[in-house]
Amino acid sequence: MSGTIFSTQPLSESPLKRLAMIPVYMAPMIAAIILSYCTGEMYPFSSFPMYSKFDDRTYYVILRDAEGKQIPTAEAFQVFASQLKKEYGRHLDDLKEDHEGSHFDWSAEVRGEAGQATLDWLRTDRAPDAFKDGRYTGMELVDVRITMEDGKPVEKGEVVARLPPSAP
Amino acid sequence: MIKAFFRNELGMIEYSRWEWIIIRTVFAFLLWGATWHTFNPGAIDIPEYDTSNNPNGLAALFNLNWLAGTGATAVSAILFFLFLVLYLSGFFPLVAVSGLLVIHSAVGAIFASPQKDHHATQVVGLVLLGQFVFLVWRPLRRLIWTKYSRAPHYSLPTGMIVFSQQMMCAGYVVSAISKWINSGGGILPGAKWLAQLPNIVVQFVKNEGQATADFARPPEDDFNRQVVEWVTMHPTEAILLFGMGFYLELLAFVALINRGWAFLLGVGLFAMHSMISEIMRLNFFYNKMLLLIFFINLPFWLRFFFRRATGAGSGTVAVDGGTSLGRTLSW
Repeated sequence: MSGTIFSTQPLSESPLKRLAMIPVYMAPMIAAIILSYCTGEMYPFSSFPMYSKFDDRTYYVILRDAEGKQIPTAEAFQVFASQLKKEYGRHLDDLKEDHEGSHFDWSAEVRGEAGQATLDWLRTDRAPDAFKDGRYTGMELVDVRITMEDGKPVEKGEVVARLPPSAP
Repeated sequence: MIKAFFRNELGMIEYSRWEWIIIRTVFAFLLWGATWHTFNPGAIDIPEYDTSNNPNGLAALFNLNWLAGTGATAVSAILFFLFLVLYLSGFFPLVAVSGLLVIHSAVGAIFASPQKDHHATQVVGLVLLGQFVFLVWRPLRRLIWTKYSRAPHYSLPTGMIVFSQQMMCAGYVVSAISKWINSGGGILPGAKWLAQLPNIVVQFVKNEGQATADFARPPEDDFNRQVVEWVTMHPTEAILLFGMGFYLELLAFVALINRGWAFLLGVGLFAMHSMISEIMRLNFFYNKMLLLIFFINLPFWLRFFFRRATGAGSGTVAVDGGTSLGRTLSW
């Protein structure tokens, strides 16, 4: 009986036999991999697609007040900028029904529809209390695009949506 | 010792009762945090979600908005706490894990809605699911699996830990497969993903911009900016460095071979998460904690080297503390 360093049981079978048993021993993992990949997103299963490809361009959004000063999203609305970007991204996806190609090629005016929907979501669904005193009238949503130019990242921001000055 | 790293002990590793007690105690805390997204019982809150906007998991099958009501939330939290106490006690594990799984899956689905919103706690849910599957499979194996006598017949501590490890490995492997396929596929796993890696700097810049937008001021440290500059100047070295992360994920199942590999892979993946946390300001708290308890497993190694240094047991270590099966570890 040959003992092992890390386990309590002897390895009585030949290495080849044990190799052949790997799919049986790993069956739970294999099943979970298949389920995770096939279901895509079915909590707790996921194919974990984050950062699964790297394009040479991406984007995020920031908020600015009527004077052009950046608004801290986490402090003002309890929303992280990453969440805001995801909401904006979902509205950009919705626009794909009416507009061809990638949103990277769309004009600021077209993207503005998604921007406006994002501001409306923030004001009416996500943080309505923050808007009650009229503090954020004229708030702007800036779509910041990052592209690789000559091997270096370059940022360019464009205002795509704005709350009306008289917004409550 | 070195030779031991190359022994295939898959299905033969035995985890002791005391290891399982330590692991499940830490896991219980993680489970609470991952379900309620707070460790403060007074701050428990379940948000409502938009049922038309790609709800996730159970929320896609049933409307769970009723759980967001104050009464339902309170009852769920109390039930969850009671199941956790039962889980920690070690009695009726199937009842405890079933209750925890139902509540965690329902609440987790709401927090993870809409789909792809975030994945911070999925690994905790997967581990819990793995433990549930083991507890269901364990009695069934005796009944219907006798034909395949070589199928592993785990003790409770071993099965709970091994199935948990396998769920974690599944998460890492499927993440690597997604990278392989989504980046363009190809025969060589991850080759196209690696080729695209220098473009990761736009993601780093995005993370920095978002971190700045959260509080309208740039983060105090400039590590992210230094890394952006380094990757821009040294794309090949960046491919080698970050590429290791891809293969760590793809080969995560190697951790199942023996305790040595579990430790090494655990440390490697922990380091990978820590590096990403620093650069991209993403929190991998649950991944790191689960790697610590299920793979790195410091209590075992401390005991292992302590007993070896002191010569306790004259070359043998009772890994189960000599209390359960009485088997000893020899070398």
